[in-house]
Amino acid sequence: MENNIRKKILITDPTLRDGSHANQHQFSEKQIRSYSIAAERARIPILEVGHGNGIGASSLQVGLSSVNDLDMIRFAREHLQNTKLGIFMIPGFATIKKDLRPAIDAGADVVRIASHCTEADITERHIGYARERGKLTHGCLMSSHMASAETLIEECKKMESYGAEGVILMDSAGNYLPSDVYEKVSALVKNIHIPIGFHAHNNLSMAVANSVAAVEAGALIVDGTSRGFGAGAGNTPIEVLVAVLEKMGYDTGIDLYKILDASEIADKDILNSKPTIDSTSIVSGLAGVFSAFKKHVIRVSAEYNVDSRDVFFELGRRKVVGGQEDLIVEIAIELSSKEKSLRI
Amino acid sequence: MSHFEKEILKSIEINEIQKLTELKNKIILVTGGTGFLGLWIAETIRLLNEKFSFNTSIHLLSRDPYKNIEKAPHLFNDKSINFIEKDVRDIFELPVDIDFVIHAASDPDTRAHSSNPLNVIETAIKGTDNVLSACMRSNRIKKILLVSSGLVSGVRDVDSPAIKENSYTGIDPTSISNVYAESKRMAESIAFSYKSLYKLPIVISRPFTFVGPYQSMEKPWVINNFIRDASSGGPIRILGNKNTRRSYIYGTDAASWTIKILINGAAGQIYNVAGKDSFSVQEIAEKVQSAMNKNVAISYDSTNDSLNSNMFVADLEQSLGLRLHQTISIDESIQHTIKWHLLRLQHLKQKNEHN
Repeated sequence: MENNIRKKILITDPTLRDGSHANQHQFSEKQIRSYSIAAERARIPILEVGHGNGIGASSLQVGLSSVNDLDMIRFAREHLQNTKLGIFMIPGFATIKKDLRPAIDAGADVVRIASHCTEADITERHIGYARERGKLTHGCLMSSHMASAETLIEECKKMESYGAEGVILMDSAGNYLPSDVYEKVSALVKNIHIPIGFHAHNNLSMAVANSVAAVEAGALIVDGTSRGFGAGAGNTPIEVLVAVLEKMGYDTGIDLYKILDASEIADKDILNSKPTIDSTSIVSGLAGVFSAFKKHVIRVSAEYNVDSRDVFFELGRRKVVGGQEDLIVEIAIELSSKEKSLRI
Repeated sequence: MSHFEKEILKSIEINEIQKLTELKNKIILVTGGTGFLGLWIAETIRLLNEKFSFNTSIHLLSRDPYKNIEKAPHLFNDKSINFIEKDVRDIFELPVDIDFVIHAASDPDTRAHSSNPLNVIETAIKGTDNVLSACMRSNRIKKILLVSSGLVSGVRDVDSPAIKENSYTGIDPTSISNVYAESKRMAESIAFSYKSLYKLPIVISRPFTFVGPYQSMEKPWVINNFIRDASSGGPIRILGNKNTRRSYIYGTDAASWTIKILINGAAGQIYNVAGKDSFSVQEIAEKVQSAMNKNVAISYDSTNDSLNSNMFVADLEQSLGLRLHQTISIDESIQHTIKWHLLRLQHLKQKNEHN
């Protein structure tokens, strides 16, 4: 007998979080409210808000938010009933007392605690705290292209032992090909009890294909943003993702027309610069460098008159991770000195 | 009056109290003294003193004895209970007056196994070596109980027969989630080496799964996590495989069994400490749901149902030889635990409001 029960895929929409990278963390109250209303209408299961690097990350170094995290949460909260309100947090940028506790008090329903893909150890207390508060809690392994499947299994098991109810592999650099995604996600699904998720970046124009590969390998959670609004070359466009998953027979619970409407709203009201796959994005994807470095690299490269592509390849060679933005200047200075000495 | 009096009286089985008279006027040292088992042993000794004039003293050795003070202030005010602030990894000498040792120090928290595996190993191995080495230098100690773990027997499929004390499968040493089981296994080897070389009178207990008051809500154990989920409005969230089966034993029974094994267990013997029946994680979730009397759902979200649906269920033939009985059923255990947590939450809330 044919099985008519469609497999459910949980979609998280970080337009108002990852998209924050794309507009230099300058979301306005009006934009937050407008997109939250659209997300609720479209029945998006989880809408994530906050600074691009997560709550508590607003700073001169990685960018100051125009609306602080707690206000972002409060503004979105007012318009969400069925859609759950998510937050993202990287221990180091944020602390439990200063950031996580007030964010939960302000109305966050879902908490994602992220670390570099080989450093899940730092998430123990934060995952534990979010669980204690009864929140749906996911762990995120960032720049997961930098670790083998075996290492990722080990790190996922750590997060599982801390109480995470799902682990999201993040392709922070947009470096994966579908075959890489399939290999890693299926290895995790075979070895981990809790649901596995995937968060794509579109540097090599693979975001939708990679998200589909993840789902076909057994992932139960995938991320998408309106028009792909996110760091670097952007994320998986949620409206395309929903359409493709519908076509493939998966149940996302999202209303197709309404998500198309939400993307139109985002296009009109939110996207001050649409994510594009320019040469820098392609190079950063190939080099395996965190997508959120893009704007910093372009700015610093211009300042020191060096080729941003060289900067990206050097960052990739040094295996930099999110939070090491200071190295961009160091590398630009080195490259600039080398060029000067060659000219002499 | 002792806290938990009814349950403790039930667990020690008054008609067999004469089997414990060897404890009268004696001094016991418990390492890991402010952990779950240590606190329940202290509660039991306290009641034996109050109701049956045992005049037994107890040293609770712990690296952080005051951490649990708000959970059990009555224990901290009892003159027969002495707290020693010490890490078993740094022990050289034990108090000179002790007659019995229960070595229970370890970290069963699975989060610590992932984050601090080397600490877990060091506590089990160096701690056991230190304690037994110190025992060797005493000519007064009558018996030593090493609290090991049923996990040393290895992993079993869900349909396997109950685990006997002499039955072993392998433990994968390449997974850090197994550091606890591996280091407990090594601790048993250390204990048997001391017994063989220095004729120390060592007996071993292997607990399976505990349940009861004194397990904090934030600890990653199934029952208290389910209670936490339900008390915060639900749903009760099952993580891992819902078919995994375990045999649970309530704190008062676990303490009573431990004391009886210490006194009556034969040196060199191993005794499982567990409930007689086993329950799946799904069944436990349903029991908590029913006991909480709340309209909360049970959610289950697993990628892979066939993964690790294992069992952790003890065969109790050897323990029954010592006339060890489970006196608190799983349903009673869950009810008592819920009651304790709810009272505690209420107390903490009042305290916060007062402040």
